[in-house]
Amino acid sequence: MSPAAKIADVCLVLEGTYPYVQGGVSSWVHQIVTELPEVTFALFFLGSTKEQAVKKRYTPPPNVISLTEVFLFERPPPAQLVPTPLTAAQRAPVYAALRAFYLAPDDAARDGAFWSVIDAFDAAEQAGAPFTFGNLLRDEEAWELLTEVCGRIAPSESFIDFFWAARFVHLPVWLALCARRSIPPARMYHSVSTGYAGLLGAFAARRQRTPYLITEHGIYTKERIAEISQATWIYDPRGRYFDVAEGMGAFKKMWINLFMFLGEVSYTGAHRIVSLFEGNTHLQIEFGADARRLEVIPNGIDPAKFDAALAQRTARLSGGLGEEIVVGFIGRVVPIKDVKTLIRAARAIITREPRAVFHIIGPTEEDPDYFDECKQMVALMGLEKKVLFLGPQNVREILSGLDVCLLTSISEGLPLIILEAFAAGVPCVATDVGACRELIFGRTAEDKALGRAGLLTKICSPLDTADAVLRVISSAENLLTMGRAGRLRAERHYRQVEIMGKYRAFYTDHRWSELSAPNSQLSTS
Amino acid sequence: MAGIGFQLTKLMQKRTLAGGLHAYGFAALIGSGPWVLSMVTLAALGLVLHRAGAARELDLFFVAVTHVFAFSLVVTGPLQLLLSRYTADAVFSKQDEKVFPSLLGSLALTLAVNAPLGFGFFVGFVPAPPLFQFAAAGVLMAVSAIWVAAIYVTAVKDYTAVVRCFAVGYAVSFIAAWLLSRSLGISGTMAGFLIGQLVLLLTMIRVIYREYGTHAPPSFAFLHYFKKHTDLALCGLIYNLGIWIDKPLHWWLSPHGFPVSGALWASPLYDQAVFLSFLSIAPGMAVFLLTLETTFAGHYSEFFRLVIERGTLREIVHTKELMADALRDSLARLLKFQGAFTLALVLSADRLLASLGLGAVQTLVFQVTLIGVCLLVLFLALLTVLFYLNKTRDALLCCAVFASVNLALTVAGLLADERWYGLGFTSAAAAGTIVAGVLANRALQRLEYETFTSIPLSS
Repeated sequence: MSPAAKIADVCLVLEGTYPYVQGGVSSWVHQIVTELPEVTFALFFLGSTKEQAVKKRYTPPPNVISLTEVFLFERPPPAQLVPTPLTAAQRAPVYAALRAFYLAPDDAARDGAFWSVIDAFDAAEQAGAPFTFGNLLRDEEAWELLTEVCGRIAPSESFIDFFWAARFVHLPVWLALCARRSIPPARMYHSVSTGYAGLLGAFAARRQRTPYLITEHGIYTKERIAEISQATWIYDPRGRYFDVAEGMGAFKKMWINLFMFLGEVSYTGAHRIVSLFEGNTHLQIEFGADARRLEVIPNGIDPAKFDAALAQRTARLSGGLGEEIVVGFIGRVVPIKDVKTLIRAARAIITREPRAVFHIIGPTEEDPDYFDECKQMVALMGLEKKVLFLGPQNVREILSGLDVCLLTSISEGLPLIILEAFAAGVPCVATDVGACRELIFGRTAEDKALGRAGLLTKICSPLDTADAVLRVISSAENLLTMGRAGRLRAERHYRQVEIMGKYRAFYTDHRWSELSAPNSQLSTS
Repeated sequence: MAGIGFQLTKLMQKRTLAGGLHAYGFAALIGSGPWVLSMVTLAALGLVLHRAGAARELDLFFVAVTHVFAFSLVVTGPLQLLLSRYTADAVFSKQDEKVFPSLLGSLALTLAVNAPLGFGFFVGFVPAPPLFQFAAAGVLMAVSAIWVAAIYVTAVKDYTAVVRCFAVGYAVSFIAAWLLSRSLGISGTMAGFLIGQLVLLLTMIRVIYREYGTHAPPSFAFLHYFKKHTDLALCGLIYNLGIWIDKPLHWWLSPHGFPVSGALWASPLYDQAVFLSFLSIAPGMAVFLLTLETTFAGHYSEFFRLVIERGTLREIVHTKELMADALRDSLARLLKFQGAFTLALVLSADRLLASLGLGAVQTLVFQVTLIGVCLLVLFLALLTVLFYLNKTRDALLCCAVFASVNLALTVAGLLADERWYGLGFTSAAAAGTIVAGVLANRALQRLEYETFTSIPLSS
């Protein structure tokens, strides 16, 4: 496909996801572009290396009119490494802008200075004196600025490491900025993360004076911080084992500062910032988003698809509890899901409710060691007949056979399985992480009035988990009541068609963006 | 990404350490070191033989040897720095086995170039007895080979070995020339001198063989360096041209110049005074070598150690400042020492030259060129610093300034009168020193900038 012959309704700015990488976010994007055929999309894919984008994992529908790819961790084009010979006078405005940016007294001043930097680069280019990355590598002004910044933020750190960190932190940003010229024109921009994608989304929307929308599934900045604090490729004089809260090496901080900054630029440039659930909005505010522009739009499902399972289950339970009470765990058997806590809870539950059996449903091959440990634990507790590893199953079919769904995850976003369980009328017991609280107890007052669709537990607490499960399965009546609340909640607040409707509205009627114009410094160019 | 960074650090390491090898930096000095020794011996030989009579015939011998020095230094000039660099790189990268074959290769190349030059010049253009002609051509080949071998002896890092070899070689030259001159006249002098030079060459090769000897065939791998380090080759050539250019100009253009025999020219009025003043170079150079190695070189390695081994910016800049201080300090000490020595010589020039039987004009030329030599020591010191800092392009510029000022002002002096003789060389040394001083200062000021920003982003 040739890059946008005509202007798309929406340019989706995608960092390392659709259509080349499989995953939750990619499926979500695919769903959006497929279910809104009347909207035309231009895809702007930001990848790390070309290898990542060899094979498309999804086939975009015909309303996707262009796909542009940019790679940020490729070797830069040789021409970008050759400094343009510029006079001191030609360099001066760019370095004045860069100085204002790097030496800015506070975040607000810095964010404003950032756009002046971009404008200075553009002005230089229009004047026939384009800056290259080579200029930043070789110009004496750049060196002076670098040493000045080093004196400020890392005076007692190894300089060669500071030097390389500075180069490597800036190179992908530079390549992203180079890509600003190839952003397809569109009536609005929508990035499905902050980061480099957010930077370009904010830039494009600012330059073309169009609305800019961010949807975050996870919180990009937080995820990067977690990743960097564990990275071993960044030199850290304190060694690998340190507490994030206590601070970390200057070079890890440089990377973290970069991502925090990219987050801020994205947030302050956006007219609306969407997260999947309430909990994430707090993080977004923490990372620089304006609370007035936040909105929660969860993931959705089609409850009708679970009607059969719901009917079967209701019929089964109307005769009271059966000889077996089936507690289902649906998910990958990996440490983050904390299956071990589930097994320990199972032991406690069975002691008090011998009818309980546990079905562990989901792939087990991702972490074979962990799976082995889980199996050994089951054997050690003598639960081989009670805790069954069933492998991957068709969720819609098995849900009717479950009495309660149990999630022991240490961390979650908005788990789709809870929505699916609700649609099939299965109550859930889940740890109080991610969106679980608002799913099970309700988010708004009206939502809460629907009743509880299960219970919440503390993480890593087998006894708490056992108590909650026992309370939920205390009677068939309780199971049915909670199941009804869940089904209602899924129908009222998590319907896929309604969620698609919200995005359709975003895409086709831009009035929302006038109500929440971004920060003043962004609207003036 | 981690991988890239690691690789680059390695690259950086290689660059800085190889660039900083001492032997390489010293090449510029070594080029004139053995030469001074040779001059001392020649002067002594001259005195002894003069006493024995036959002064007129001896002139031919000394003029021929002067031409040999001029030819050999200019012709081997491009090789000197290049071979220093090549051996330094080989030793640094632990490829010692490359050293001896490259000595054999470079000797073969030197002989191949100098044989036709020597035989062509001395047999074809210098009317003299055949033994003299052939011996003179042999001396040209031997002396050229000695300049090349001296570079390798330096790589052995036994600086006293260089001096020992020269002492032995010139002692033999001295005795053999004196003995053979009695039966064979001037041809015997040249033949005897040749014998000593061959002894010198062989003792040097023995020193190198003991350290790096292999039975591998001669290697010409160093020839690649002509392409890779063209600046170095040009530096060596132009520096030696700059040192010599004023002499033939005086032979050919001065009213005092005349053909001694065929193509051999001389201008004793100028030559003798200039050679004498060149002898004053020795103490200053010794002092500079010593202080440079103890202070500047130490800070220099510390600078790159800090760069590679994760020093802070403040530490790196501080060490660079120490390096600059050390350099200023040793230059000041050098200037004081050489200055005092030069001043003493300038003041006693009258009596000194009178005792050697030289006249008033020569005394003036001697005094003027003494100051030139004092400046030349500074110039050489600064050139060495530029080599240390890997600024071969800058060094080349300095050498070009030095050579062209010498050429232009010597011609101008010759067009004027005797009072201007020697000023060409002295002004050239002054100009070279100023340019080298400015460039070295700039290079030092920008050292950390250059060191870091010249690291390529990817290898």
